[in-house]
Amino acid sequence: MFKKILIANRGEIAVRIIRACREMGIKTVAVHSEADRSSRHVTLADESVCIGPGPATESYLNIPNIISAAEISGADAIHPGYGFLSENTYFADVCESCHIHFIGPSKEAIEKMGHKSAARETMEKAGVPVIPGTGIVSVDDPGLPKQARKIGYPIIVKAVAGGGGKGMRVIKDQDGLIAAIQLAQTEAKAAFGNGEVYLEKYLEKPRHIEIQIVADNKGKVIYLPERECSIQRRHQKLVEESPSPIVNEHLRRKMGKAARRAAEAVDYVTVGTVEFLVDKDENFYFLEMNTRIQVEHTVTEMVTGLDLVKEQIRLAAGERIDYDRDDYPARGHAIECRINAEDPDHDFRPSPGTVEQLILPGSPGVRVDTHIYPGYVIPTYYDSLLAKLIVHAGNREEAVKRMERALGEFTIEGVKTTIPLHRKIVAHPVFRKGDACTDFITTYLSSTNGTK
Amino acid sequence: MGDKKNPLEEQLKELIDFCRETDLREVVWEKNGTKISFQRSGISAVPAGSAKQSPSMAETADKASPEPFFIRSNMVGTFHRSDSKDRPPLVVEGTIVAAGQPVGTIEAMKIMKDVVSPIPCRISKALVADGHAVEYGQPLFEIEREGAEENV
Repeated sequence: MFKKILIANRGEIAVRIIRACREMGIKTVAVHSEADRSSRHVTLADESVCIGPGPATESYLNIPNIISAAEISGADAIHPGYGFLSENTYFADVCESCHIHFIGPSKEAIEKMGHKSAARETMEKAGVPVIPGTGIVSVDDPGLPKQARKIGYPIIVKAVAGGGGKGMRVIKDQDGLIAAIQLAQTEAKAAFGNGEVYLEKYLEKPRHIEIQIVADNKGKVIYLPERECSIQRRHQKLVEESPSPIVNEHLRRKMGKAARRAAEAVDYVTVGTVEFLVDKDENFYFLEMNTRIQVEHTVTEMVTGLDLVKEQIRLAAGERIDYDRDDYPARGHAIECRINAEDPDHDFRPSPGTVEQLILPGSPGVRVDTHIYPGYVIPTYYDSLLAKLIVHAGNREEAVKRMERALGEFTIEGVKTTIPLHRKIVAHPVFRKGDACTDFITTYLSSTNGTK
Repeated sequence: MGDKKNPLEEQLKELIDFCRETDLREVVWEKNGTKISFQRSGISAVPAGSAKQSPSMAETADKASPEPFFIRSNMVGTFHRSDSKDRPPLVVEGTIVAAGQPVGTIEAMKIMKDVVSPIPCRISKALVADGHAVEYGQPLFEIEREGAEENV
């Protein structure tokens, strides 16, 4: 087992990882920017090293300073958290050459899953269903309209290097085909420096459902109960729950086995997530694999009783999965709401400032993962996630009521947050029925969604 | 800003003047897709051991007895006072150094990098012993400024 882990991250996930390490008897090293000097993860860790100024490119993405911090503190492993360097092949490679253990899958697995069209090919070969689509397209190709017809409209054009909704466009019919591709190419080039795009069948009213997998380095892969993450705005998740209200035992097994094949195809080790889109006829399609711990891992922890961060660390250290079956039952129902420092009434614009008042909800089945405290100044350099409110109850109906109650108590003053929006979501009849699809926010809460 | 000759230059000048009048060490300015960021050459404008509101840099430079400033580490690593083993320290208390002159080295990932003084100065105190780990922004030397030239 590792003796000292450096956490190459900040915010709630750095706090989460430090807590897991403490319970495992592993020493921790926090790294931080100058803007994060008084952040919670710095206080909680056994040691801390300042790695650069506020901007992430000069601190949390500064590979030489992070590696150097591991060297001077004597850390034998680095936990990358999510975002920042967590899916960076080069970083995983540098860790390896410096004899520091990267807590995550192999760099080959990150690479194979990081490139969307390569991942698609790997999945097709492994027998994991993918959305009908094309390779990289060119507007000069005379066969393009025919290819598009074969997929069937509506079609979505996506950037090869994409993410976060950039370089994406929905095409309703052939008239808009060329213009939409050109627009997407320009947008992709500007956002990622790579203008390559491809076409895919656009699923109307899909659900975003993902399978958490856990894998050891002896080839054993188990899948955990699915997470439903359909409530999003601009392709960013807002609410996640487990299990999904629409997944039955049959579909769960089918998706679980597909996720396992996906992990096996890249010799995946530690924890990871295979994301699927599910249509109204229970067809599911591979979306992407996240080769890291995810923000919403908590709902899976609540329904399984597992500590996924500890599992991740153990598996990275080479321990084996000590479990006979390949699936894992869910106990009860869990929901997570992401509390962001954003103003939902003004197009979710960031709302930095000082947390003047903080009152957390409590009682059985309520969990809050956060790095904020009264007086905490939210830096402007990083993402807006302030806290994750997670509830667990015997069934979905009770969990929704518990979330409603907890959101009613949760008070953050000094900055605008998404708490009022979450109250509207959990009170909405469509959400309560479990019918929310990925268009939920734009369709039902468009007045709070502001301008598109 | 309408029809000024070079609005960007004007704005930049204003920004630097503004920075001079305050204790700001770093400024990042962003407007309409243009981003400008600059730092005060690794020197703290805040005199050591002074809890009160510190005077502006210009004011400080006018004083007869100069207040201490710092040369800080701009990376994470192991600090060395000399440029190789068995060699004497590059600077000691009282050494007068020129702008850009190496005052120590930092070793990170088996690579040695020079720490240079950003301005002409006199070393008044070494704050980190040879072979000790340093973090980003850590004061390495307390210095006295040489000359009254403003340095932003």
